[in-house]
Amino acid sequence: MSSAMKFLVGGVVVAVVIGVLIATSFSGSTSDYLNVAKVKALGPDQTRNSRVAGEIVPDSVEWNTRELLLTFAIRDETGELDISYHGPQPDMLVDAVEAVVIGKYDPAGQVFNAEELLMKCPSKYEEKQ
Amino acid sequence: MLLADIGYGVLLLTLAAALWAGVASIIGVWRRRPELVASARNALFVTAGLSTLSAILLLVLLFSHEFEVRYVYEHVSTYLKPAYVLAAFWAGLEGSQLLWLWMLTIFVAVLVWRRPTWDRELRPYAMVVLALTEAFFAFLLILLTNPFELLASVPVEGISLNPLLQNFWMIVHPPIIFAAYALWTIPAAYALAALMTGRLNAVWLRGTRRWTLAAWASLGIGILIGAWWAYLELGWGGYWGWDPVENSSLIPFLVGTAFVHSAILQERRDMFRAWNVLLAVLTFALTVFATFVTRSGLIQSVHAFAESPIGWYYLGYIVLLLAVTVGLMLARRQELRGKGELGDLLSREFAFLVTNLLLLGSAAAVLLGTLWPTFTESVTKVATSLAAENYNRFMGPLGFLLVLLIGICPVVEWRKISAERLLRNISVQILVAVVTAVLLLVLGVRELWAVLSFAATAFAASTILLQMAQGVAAHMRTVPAVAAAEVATMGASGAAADPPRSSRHPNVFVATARAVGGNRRRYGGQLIHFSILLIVIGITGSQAYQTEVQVALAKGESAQVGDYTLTYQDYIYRQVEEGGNKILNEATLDVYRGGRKLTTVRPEHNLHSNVEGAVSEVAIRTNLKEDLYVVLASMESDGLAAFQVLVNPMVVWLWIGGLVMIAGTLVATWPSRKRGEAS
Repeated sequence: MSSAMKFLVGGVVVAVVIGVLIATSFSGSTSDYLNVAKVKALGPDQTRNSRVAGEIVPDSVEWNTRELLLTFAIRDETGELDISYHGPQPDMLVDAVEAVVIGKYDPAGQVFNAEELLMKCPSKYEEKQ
Repeated sequence: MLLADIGYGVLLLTLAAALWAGVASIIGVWRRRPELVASARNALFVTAGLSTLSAILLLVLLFSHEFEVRYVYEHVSTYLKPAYVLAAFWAGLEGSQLLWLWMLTIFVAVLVWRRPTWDRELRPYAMVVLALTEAFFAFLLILLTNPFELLASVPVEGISLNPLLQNFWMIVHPPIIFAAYALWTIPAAYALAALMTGRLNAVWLRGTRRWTLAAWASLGIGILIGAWWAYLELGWGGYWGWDPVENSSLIPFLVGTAFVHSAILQERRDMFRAWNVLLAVLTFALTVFATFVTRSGLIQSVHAFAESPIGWYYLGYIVLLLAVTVGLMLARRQELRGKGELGDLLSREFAFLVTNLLLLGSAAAVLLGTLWPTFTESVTKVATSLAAENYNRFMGPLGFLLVLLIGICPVVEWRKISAERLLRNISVQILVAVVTAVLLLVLGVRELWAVLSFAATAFAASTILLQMAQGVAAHMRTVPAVAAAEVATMGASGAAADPPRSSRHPNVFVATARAVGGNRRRYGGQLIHFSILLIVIGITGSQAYQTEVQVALAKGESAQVGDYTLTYQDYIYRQVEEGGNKILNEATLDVYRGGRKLTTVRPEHNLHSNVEGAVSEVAIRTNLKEDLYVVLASMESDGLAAFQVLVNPMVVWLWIGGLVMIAGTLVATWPSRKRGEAS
């Protein structure tokens, strides 16, 4: 085998291995962007996380410092969704700001249990207009 | 508003000068009229002068609080500290675009200041690319992001700078990132010049090497400073979140790193000509892509930057740039064929190829991950987002292999090395790696991936140290010719009853200085590799062993976090500074370990009149082993407070790595005193 051929074959093998590694790491622990209506239609047997974005419903935020329990509601054009989050209250959690929650929906309790809560805050990098 | 009008006028003139520079250099090279090329060069100086003037005007407007100017109104206030007024310059889109143009014009002026030497043939063509890029940025500033735009009425007070951006590192981070972006334009311009002229040997690479390394290092340092800012200011305990904004600067860094490495292959072995041209242009295109990502609204990010159509102009520019590059590459198929022969699979050439594939593979994966929601939405109608874990799953193994290659590459010979010889060259390193792994296991480290990562780091570090030691030892044995000559002259002057110091075998420091001085490129590179290893240690330690406790405490209560005991002593609630703009909530906690008081930390949770919600100021106690990171998440009026406390091991090594990276780059690029030496 000529050295150019060896290089080509070797290079392709390495590239394929890298490609496979990347491809396999793109599954699992991903989350789907869903709107409120679609999340509410989910059954109890969700395997993947959902990711919902919505505006925080004014006056819905309740924070229990002792329990470190945060409950609030978000809404988009398809409806309202109650959120329960266990953990510190994010800095930017205020009415009408957009929040992104990642977690699973509990159809029995009709509440979305967020594992992660991110604030999509326009004032974070750009001052409020 | 006179100054603002002047500013806008200056921008128009900047565009005109840049366009003239572009047109004059095109006609100059096409019609072979050197006087036009000279005129283009002058126009590039004028462009730099004009954009400096507009930058000064914006600064003057910011410092004099001319709120009639929209950008001033939106980013400063009368109570903002002067240092942060400077940060306000690049806090918004308009200012950061002006900063980019300004940096680019300055670097281009520095580049053309020196009369052409090695680049006599290439310079006019590179000037075409540089001038047109400047014109493009100036055009966008005028059309879409005019920082001198006026408001209909004059507000009495400005909105002021977002408190999150009121941090020393936010004064430093954007200029470094934009300097890096601007610097990457230069190797790309010379790559295109090489394509246009067909002079595709290593001359353009060698000539632009310092620019490339400066660009590479600024981008790396800029990314690290951004991570540091996030760590200090955003209060979630991490420094990297795989957010599109972060990814978009990491992607050009990875591709640029691949370019720096494959450039060596062309310089030494005349291989990879086409690769290098493509990578140089691609790195630059990706820096522009970064702005497209953050401004187009195409990509979902928690960082909602103000959307602007500017992103689409950038995309158009990238498409044009790549189309021209690929077109020229096809036209230059013959010249792109290097004379170097490929070596064996066990050769440094192949090790370089694998390095390149790993770097480009990781860049492609990060890019794909960033675009994944957009991509999945167009295919399946449901946008799917990756978690940090997905990124870690490919970055971990790819990074591991790259670290191994840092240890293997220097001991593999060009063309061919036998398996036995290779094994012999790395036997000590393997031993060090195994000892490290066993030690870690004995010490109770159970995360396999962390053990592997530390072992690989030890492996690579021992190669660097061994090679360094060999170089120093060689210099300790020899009395350099210069010293021998000194002895001769001193002997002649009769002053040498005692043998002069320089004729003895040099001590270890002198020998180190001589070894490094004699081969700055090599030792600088090794030092940079060493800095990467320090960063890998920091990442591994903090990822594997982060301890997090979320707890609510009333005054006087304590919490246990790792070995630390934190006792909540007191709280403060008051209006402070900045014209009543800020309400301070501060908690005071005493930190104990093993019954001994270590320190007192004071995390804050403040309200600012110009942002909704609160802004946390984290309290961090750093040492070489770990950071204690305390966030005050909320506080009730009776002092009952929620805390988030993290112990982040080894984070400080990331920042130390950054310092070593700067040192390594300086060593590698420092101008040599010896004239005529190829830099």
